[in-house]
Amino acid sequence: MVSLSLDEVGAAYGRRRVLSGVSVGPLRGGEVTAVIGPNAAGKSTLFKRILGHVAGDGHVRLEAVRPPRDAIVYMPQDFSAKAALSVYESIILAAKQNDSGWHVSDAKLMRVENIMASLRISELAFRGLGELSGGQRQLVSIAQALVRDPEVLLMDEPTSALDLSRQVEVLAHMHHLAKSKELLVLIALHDLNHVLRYCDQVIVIADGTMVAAGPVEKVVTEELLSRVYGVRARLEICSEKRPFLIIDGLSGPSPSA
Amino acid sequence: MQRHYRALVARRLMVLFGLSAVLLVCLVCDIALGPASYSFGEVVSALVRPDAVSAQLKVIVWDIRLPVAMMAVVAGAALSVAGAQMQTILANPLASPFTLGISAAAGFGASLALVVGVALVPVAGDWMVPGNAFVMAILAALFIHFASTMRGVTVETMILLGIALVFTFNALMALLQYTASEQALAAVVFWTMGSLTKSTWSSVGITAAVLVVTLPLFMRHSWALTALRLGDDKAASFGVNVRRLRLETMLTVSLLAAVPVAFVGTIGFVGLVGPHIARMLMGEDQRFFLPGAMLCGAVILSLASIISKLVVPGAVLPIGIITALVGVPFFFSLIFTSRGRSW
Repeated sequence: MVSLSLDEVGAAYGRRRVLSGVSVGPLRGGEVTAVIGPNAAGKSTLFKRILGHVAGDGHVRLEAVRPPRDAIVYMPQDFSAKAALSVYESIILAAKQNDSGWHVSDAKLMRVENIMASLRISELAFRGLGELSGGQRQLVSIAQALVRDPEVLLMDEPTSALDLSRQVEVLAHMHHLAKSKELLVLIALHDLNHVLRYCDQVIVIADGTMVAAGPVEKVVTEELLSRVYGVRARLEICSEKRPFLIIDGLSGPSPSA
Repeated sequence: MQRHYRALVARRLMVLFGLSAVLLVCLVCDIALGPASYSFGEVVSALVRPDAVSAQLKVIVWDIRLPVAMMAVVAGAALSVAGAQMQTILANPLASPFTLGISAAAGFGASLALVVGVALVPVAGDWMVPGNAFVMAILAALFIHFASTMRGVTVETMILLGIALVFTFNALMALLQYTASEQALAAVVFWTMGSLTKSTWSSVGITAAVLVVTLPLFMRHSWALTALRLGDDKAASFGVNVRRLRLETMLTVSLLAAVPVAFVGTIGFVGLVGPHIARMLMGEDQRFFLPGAMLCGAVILSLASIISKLVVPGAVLPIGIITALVGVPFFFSLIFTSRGRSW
């Protein structure tokens, strides 16, 4: 089973240090781990450090069947839709990056179609990328990530442009995929109720350092929300015996005050 | 979906086949036309059975018209592929050898040879002008490339740098022209208009060789280059080494743009418009886009070569004038019809 450990991981852009002290794991296949924190806290940088796209100190240890380049798949927040490509072609493009042959096999096309069907975007197949809404683009991006058959999937705010029902659908789908395929999913999220509902573990980052990490129900507390986000919130238990969050307001003066 | 995709691929292959056929027709017409009035049949005979026609006709067809017609094909193809890849790696629809200052740099290099007689490379005679043009073109391309690798330099900055190069080299060229003799001035002006008439089998061979060597390099990276159009982050997320791909491509493109410009002078719009037509015809899957851009560029320059012989009977206009006159209205129509669409 795939596992990922981070040991005192940091990251820097040139001489500017933007992330430090992230230690967590081993995170295992079948788990969904949320990476949360305020804007510009270092969540995307953590993903890029795990991928090796950004240099830094500490150690990233991956145990996977395939080499890291193939095992870890990153889904960035957004992508350029200026290319004259259809949705179907853009997903084939993702599937073909690991093999240089020009021919696209029937099996590969079938895989693309199955993934599009599972995300309910088949009707977009021959639409141009430039014609898509932000939410549709995000669904295409998820399909591009899944078609590469990842062992570790790093998703950078994959639901930020989706409507509520699509958010629930996508997160439930990812949760199901993680459990059924023993996929290790790290997912940067802002909606903490989604974190409470769909994630097993959580890594909290603020100002470029790790504030807390561990099982969601232990880490996400009213005190943490006040300390990290400056927000007064209550954790209640819903009818399904799950915790959910009610925001009462800012704990200090509002930024606009 | 599979059937639809396979049909799309087949259609693109048909378009490539169609463009090849159009190119062949253009090539034959280009060879058939010229100030010396020979019939189409005579020219075809000279092509098919050179020993069966008069020595004069054989020389005209094989040593004058054929190199010029072939240069239109290979230079058009090379400039268009160079433009296509510049647009791809700089993520900018305005990128081309012309707009990035490579042609202007080559013009300055040529002017140095024509006006001052300075050779930037130790070659003499007929090779001094293309030699100088090549050196300056490659220096400009490398400048653009190394500027692009600097931290904080965006693709928009790259285009502005290219425009700055155009103005700089045009000003330097104007300075040389101001001090030039009448004869040298005429030679510089003629060179900057772009002309195929001085093409020889050697210059055609060199340009064709560069094209033949560089094209497979691009085709080998066709999936990665297509991914680059989704943005750097996305391409990197697909496992593409974006920095290395951009470096390799820019260096190759520099060569591809510099060689034809050195031989034929400033021929604008082919490197800009060729890729845009190919993109409209077959999208941006580089497996089809790249050969498409190559064929479109070849057809455009071959057509321009034909038109340059038809406008004034008995004379051949500099081809740069034709590409600009045809290219500008086309470029306007491109701007006004493709707003909101993928570029």
